[in-house]
This record gives sequence, structure tokens and C-alpha cells, in this order.
Amino acid sequence: MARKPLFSLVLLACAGWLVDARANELSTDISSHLVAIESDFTGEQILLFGSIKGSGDIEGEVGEYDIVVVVRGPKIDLIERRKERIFGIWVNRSSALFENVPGFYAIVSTRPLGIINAAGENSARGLFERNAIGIENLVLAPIAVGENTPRLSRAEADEYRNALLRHKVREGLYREQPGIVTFLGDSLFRTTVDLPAKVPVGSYEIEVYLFLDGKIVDAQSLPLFVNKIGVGRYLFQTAHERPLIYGLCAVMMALLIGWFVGILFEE
Amino acid sequence: MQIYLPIAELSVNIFLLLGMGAGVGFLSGMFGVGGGFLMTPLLIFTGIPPAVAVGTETNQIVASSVSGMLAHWRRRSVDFKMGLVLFAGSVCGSIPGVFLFRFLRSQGQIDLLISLSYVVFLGAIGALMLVESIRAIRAGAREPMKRRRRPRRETPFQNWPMKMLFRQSRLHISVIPPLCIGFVVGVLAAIMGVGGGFIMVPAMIYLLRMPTNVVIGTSLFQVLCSTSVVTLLHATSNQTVDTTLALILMVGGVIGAQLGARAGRQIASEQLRALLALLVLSVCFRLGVELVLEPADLFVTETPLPGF
Repeated sequence: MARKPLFSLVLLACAGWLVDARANELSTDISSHLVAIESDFTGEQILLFGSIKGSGDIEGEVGEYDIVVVVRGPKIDLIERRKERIFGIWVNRSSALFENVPGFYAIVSTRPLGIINAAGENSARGLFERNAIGIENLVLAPIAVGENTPRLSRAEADEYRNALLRHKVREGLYREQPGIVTFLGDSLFRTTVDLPAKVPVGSYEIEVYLFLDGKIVDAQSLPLFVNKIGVGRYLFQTAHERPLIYGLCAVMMALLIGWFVGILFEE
Repeated sequence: MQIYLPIAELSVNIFLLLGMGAGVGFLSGMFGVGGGFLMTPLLIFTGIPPAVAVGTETNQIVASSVSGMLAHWRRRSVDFKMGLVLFAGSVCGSIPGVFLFRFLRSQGQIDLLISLSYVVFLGAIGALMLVESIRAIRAGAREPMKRRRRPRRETPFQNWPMKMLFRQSRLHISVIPPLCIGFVVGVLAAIMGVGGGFIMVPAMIYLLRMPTNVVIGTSLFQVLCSTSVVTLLHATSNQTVDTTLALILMVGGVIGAQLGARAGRQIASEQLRALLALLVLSVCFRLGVELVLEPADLFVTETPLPGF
């Protein structure tokens, strides 16, 4: 990656902005707003960088800045199933539906959220809860599946919730990484966000929050699109939108290959 | 080198897939078995979702049965009429089979059904093959095997209605037994992603009393027709046919099958048949163990199907 030239470019741009007198204003961007899933896709790392405008202009003691970046994937529905032993084998027995949960959720920050909150004497907590910042603040309400199923008890709901979080964290689709936003000097910062190979397609939203001594001072949001492109996208679309044609082509391909081989190895 | 499979939605090493295709192709070329019953569990072990493994494997079997069927066609050892009757039965079996597949998938039970059917069938076939090959090894050590009694011409279904004349097989029998055999094979093809030759060939020899020279060709013809239909059904109702994966498996399978057929002509096969039986049994064992042992995580996450 061409990090050096990019960095100096940002530096140059920031030098211009620093003249502006408005304090504590964020300006950020990412290395790419489009992540393309091609046939050799094994995940991608996105570079996010930015600067805090006017940070040097404040009179007297400059407080401590914190950056929190939240990356939210498209909302999806998920079913969590729970196995029970029946006649000696483990069978999916009960299940719960989660509606509109983020298909991807990453949060990276300069310091752990708890410490940022403590630095501002608890003033950030409300914001974290309202905007679902931090995995524990995600709204994940399971609904029991089935016609006559009773409502889930609090303990059951927690079990399903924990299972969902565990799976998503294991797949790298939900992650919380404090400490990986780094400042370069007083006002420039950079970080990376890893998108694993299983990343869902759709439109993402990246939110960047700036805290000064634990108090929110600015926020910005950036769009990000993850899309299948090329042959893979074409195949996926055809399979789902024109399944009959897709199926016929699949059969034709197999017939032709088989026939070709039959001729090739004719005795 | 990783390749992204657009329908399975994951990246897999392409050489691993080619190797699996070649390995299973080699075995099927050597022993004249279809290979679907080995490939589907292998794909599942690789991490391909079981539903995609089944849908894709039926697509691959189409390709692998065409070349075999063509060879038999040239030798005029295909009873097309019988094949079509079997095929008619299998269509009647695979349509409800694919709908059952879709329903169980929406209920989160399809993986269980696939595993259970494999444990049962692989266990039965593996055991039969092992017993048969051990017997052959012993018999071979003592004296050359006696020629088996020629099967009787009369079938147990002599008086059943709806008789039809099958000239190529020199049979005049009711169409009900072949329709039923086709039906069972159709259900299995839809649920397990197999061609069904391993059921059909013995059924044609021992139940229908077809002459052995037309059995393989006819079976291949029926497998070709039935897996084509099942591929189409899976593509339209489940969207679980990954053509990228199927193509890679076809390429590997073709190469493996040719090598296997060549190797099979040169090596004494009783010992190898016993080894294949052990392989089948170990795949069965592994699937069985996974069903019985307490899983490390009792929960699974799935994407709900639209419409349920």
C-alpha cells in the first residue's frame, strides 16, 4: 500500500486546514469507499485516517483526544438454533430470530470505551447507549420461533444473545479493538479496519466520534460499499434472480464437459 | 490459492478442491462407482454448507455420468426404455424430495437429515463391501471363485399388471417395480446429492433380473437424467447449486477418473475394494461421531430463508 505518499498528502492538506480557526473539527476519509469481492477475495483491510482541525489553537492546556470509529454493516435477520440431545443425537431443537442486526460491526478506538467514559466523568455513557456504540450496547432482542412457543425468558434471551455474539466474534464479523487508533503528532490519526472473507455485501456506515477529555466534540459519518463484482456477482445474481436459467446453464455446462471428456478419451 | 465460491459464500483453497475431485474421481474410475456418496461428505468436512454440498454434487454427477454413458452407448449396452421408466419414477421421487429438503432447511433440520442418511447408507454399503471383499480375498486364496448361479429369468413380479416389453433387457415385466426403484433413487438423489447407482445396480440385477451387461449403462443413463432434473430443482427452489465449485470438482474428477480407470485394469482389486470399504466406513464413522458427541458449541447461527 502506498502509505507514505498518502500520509504526506494528508499532512499537506492538514497544514492548510490548520489555519482555520474553528476548533475540534474532524475531517476523515478512508482508503476506499468500495470493497469489491472478486473470485480471489480473502478479506480486506481498510485504512481510515483523519485530522482534528484547530487542535493547536486552543489557549492553555490542551486536553486529551479520543477517537472512536464504528463500522456498521447492512442490517440482516439471523436465526440462532440451539441443540439438544434426542435419542442420543444432537438435534437443533429450539430457535430464536434476531431481526435487523448488523451483519458486520467493528469498533476501534484510541482507548477502551470504559476509560473514555470515565475520563469524561460518565458523560459519554448516554451517547454510547443511544447510538449503540460498543458491542454490549447493540440492540439484540431475540424472538422465539414457532407457533405456540412461549415468550423467551430473560435467561434464555441472554443465552441466545451471547451465542450470536460469540459466533460473530469468532467469524471476525463483530469486533472491538481499543488501542488501534493511533495519533501521529497532535492532530493526525490513523487506524485500520479488517473486513474478513465472510463479510456481508451491502452498504456500510462508518461513524467517527471525537472526544475531548471524554466529552463528545464532533462526529462524522462516511459511507462504504461492499459488493460482489465480476463473475461471482453475475453468478450469484443469476442464481437468485433467474434460477431456472441458472439451473439450465449448470446442467448444460455439466453435459458439455462430460460429453467433451467422453470424446477426448474415446477408445 | 484461495477461490471465492459465490453461492457457498466462502473462500476455499482451489488445490484442495481439485485434489478432492481427483481423489474421488480416481476411486470412482477404479471401482466404477459414482463417487457422490464420498464427495458430498468430503465437501461438508471442508466447511461447505451441507445444502450447497448436495446441490452442487448433483451437478457434478451429471458431468461424470455423461462420459461413462457415452462409452456404454457406443457398445449398445444401454436399455433406454428401462432407463426412461426408472427416470419417470425418479422424477416422482425427487420433486417431493427437493421440497422436503427446502422445508427441512427452513426448519434448520436439513444438516441432520443429510448426516443421518449418510450414516445409514454409508454404514450399510461399507459393511456389505467389506464382507464381500473379505470373502473374495479368502476364496481367492483357496480356489478360484465358483461361477455364480445365473439369476432366474422369472421375476418375483411376474403377475403384476402394466407389463411392458424391454427388448434390450429381454424382459417382459410390470413397470411398477422399476418405477418404485426409480422413486427411491430420486428421493435419495434429492436429499443426499448422490446418483444412486449403488442402490440401482443391485436392484436391477437382483430384483428386475436384468442381464448384467446392460445394467451399468442403463444405470448411468438414468443417473444422468435424474441428476439433471435434481440439479434444476435445487437451482430453482433452493439456490444451492454452486457452479464454480461444481466446475472445479468436474475438472479434478475427470482427470482422476481416467487415471483410476487405467489403474483399475492393472491392480488386483479385492484388497483395494476392502480399502474402499474401510474408507466408506470411516467417513460414516466420522459423521456418526459428530451426531453423537456433545458439540463444543450448542448453538448455530443461520440466515432465515425468505418466505418462512
